[in-house]
Amino acid sequence: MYGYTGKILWVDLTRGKAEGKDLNPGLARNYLGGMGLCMRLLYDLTDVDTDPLGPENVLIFAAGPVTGTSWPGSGRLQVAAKSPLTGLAGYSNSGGHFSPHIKYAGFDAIVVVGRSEKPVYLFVEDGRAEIRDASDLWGLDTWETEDVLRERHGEDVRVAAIGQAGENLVKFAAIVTGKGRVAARAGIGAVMGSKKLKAVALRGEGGVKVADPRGFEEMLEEAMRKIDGSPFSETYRDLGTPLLVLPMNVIGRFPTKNHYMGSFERAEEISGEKIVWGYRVAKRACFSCRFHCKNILKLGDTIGDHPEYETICSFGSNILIDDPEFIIRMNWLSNRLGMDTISLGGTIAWAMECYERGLLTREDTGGLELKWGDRDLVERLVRMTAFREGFGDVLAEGVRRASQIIGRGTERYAMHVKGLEIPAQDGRAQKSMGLAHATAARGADHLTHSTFLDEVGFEEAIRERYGEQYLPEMADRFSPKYKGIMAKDCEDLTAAVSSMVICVTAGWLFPPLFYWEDLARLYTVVTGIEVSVSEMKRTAERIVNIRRAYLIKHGVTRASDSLPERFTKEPAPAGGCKGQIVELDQMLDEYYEARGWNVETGLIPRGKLIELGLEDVADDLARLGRLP
Amino acid sequence: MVLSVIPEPSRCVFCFECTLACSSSLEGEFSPAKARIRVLESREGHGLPIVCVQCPEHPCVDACPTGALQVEVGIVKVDEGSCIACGACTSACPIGAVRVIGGRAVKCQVCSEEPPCVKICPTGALKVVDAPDEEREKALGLLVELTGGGG
Repeated sequence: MYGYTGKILWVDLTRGKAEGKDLNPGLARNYLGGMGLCMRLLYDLTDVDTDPLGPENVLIFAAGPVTGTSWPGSGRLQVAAKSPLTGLAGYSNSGGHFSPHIKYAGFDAIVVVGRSEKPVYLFVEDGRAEIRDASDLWGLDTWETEDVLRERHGEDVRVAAIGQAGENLVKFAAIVTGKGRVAARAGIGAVMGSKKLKAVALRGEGGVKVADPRGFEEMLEEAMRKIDGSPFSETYRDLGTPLLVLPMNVIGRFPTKNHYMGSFERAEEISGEKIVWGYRVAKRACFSCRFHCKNILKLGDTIGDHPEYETICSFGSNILIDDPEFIIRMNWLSNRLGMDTISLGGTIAWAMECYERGLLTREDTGGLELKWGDRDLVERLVRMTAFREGFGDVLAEGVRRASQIIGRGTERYAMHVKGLEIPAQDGRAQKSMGLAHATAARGADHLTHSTFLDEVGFEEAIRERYGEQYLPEMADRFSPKYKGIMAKDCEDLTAAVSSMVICVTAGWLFPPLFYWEDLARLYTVVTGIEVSVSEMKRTAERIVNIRRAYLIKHGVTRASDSLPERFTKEPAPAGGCKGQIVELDQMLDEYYEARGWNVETGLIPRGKLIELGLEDVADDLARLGRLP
Repeated sequence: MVLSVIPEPSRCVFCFECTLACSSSLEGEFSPAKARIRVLESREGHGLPIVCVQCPEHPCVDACPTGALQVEVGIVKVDEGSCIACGACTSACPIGAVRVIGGRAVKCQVCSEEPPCVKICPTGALKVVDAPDEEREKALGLLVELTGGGG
């Protein structure tokens, strides 16, 4: 096979076995790899009664057909499992250098089932895999774990590890690769911890062959020209996502005080410029990426990755902190302990608001006073959460469960959708983001749909992709109109791009340089499997629909595609989106319509599933009475 | 003056595109392990591209017991037919720029005046230059220093 290695590594930790099996070519063509492969396997291998933290859950590390090539942004890793945070489809994507080495080591994906009695790690090298004792690694943080494994297996070994949070089954524990690139969301690190799998270490001397090297080369040269010529490349290359702080603050999209508003008066203090320019010692790229949007910062004797935009919100504006060094340190601490900074920050922000409102008291917190902006307190809470100490044991459950444990109306201030904490886009400032948060399969998320076209108004891309008739509304971030149509297409494209696996912000969803024609052609030149634009679009829809079907099996309906009332009923009190709310119902109607789903229920009609070749899924849903 | 690929490590962003362009061009597949250039991590956080700079001393040539390494117009080339994959060249090179892969010594032989590694580098961390002895010696010295002398 071209592009693919043609093998999946199946690891059963209960039986202590690891073996490579052939990749089913039909599975490859119908689901591509990465996200698509993950969603099909998750659907097939787990069910409604699967306990996310039980041995029956699966944990999938997937590369894709383009992974390991020189295509820009193709170094990304897709991970999936049933989420302990949401009880639904959990998926998480990270940059770094881990994923291509899955391919070089001889596999397209690693599927882990079962549970080991004792801590273990998986060592994969050139087509072979060993399950090794990790007693000496258990209890170490992710940086220490990486250091030990590189010392043991060589500098060029690539590591994905959990920290103490994953070991302690913190519901939003993350998997950390290369110390700073993190598959963070949906608690997949807790799944890894539940399996007693401390780390996966890879080394491979293999390679990836493409079917049409000349065609690939031509596409690559054109892509390089487009990327280097884009007006967005310069600042993005310089600052990475931290560049967003100031412009998002201006438009009121930068969550502040537990999402109460979207503008932080001290944003200048924690701007991307302050953080990156103030502490940078080196530029950094993920594997095979000419955007190189990462930065290495230095503080004291420590060097490490810059905090992303999301993390700057989590440890900055959303809890009223304006200290860049604190944010840098908390990012590193969260990476070491292995936690999703979005969920962690969102849970702490909830606790602070509830404390201010008198809904949480010192009796709940073990005597701690939860004051906004208290840095020492936040650092303490981060550690207490990772180790589940005292009140940290409540926070470690994530904001939905934590608010249910406390009760007393604190649920109202829990900013989540389907159990996943809301990231740093206030939907009142950019309506498409409100829709994205409400409908993303993993819970509140901006990267399932990646609706960036109305962020700064990419009118030209909108005109090219959808047509003049959708302007100006589709480009207007305050208008709910046509956002359902845009979200549907962006979600499909994101699903397909994440199946290749390519970074969505390497020219696909941001900046909008490449589109369906490019994706179909890229897949064809890489794999030699001739795929048309319409087949590629249908494949993407198949992936999105099987992911939705998995949710529907678990009881999700239109009612689940909601937002906290803060966004739908409380007009933004100040800042760049003052007076705005998210007109969710209107956008939902349009989105379901565009998807061919039932508008009243959000369920998928049988006809739609048949159209996508998902007859088996239609039969499942029929048996469960979950067809419209 | 000798045509050689000279890295500027402080500009390297650790993206490995050079290794992919190299292996794809010379081996027909994307494989950092098979490239004539390697990328390590520096203590300062930037990447560290390791490639033969065609140093004037070429200890690899002196170390080769079979004469498989020869200097042609300043560029050290490998005669695969005579190479016995003993690895003496690898040990002799202060930065490990010659490696034994698949039963033969491989190294950068400056495949063209516009090598794919240089062409693809997004930051200009690699350049191909017709360089005098001093410049190549200096480039080697920097790589030796940054790798701690061990490659």
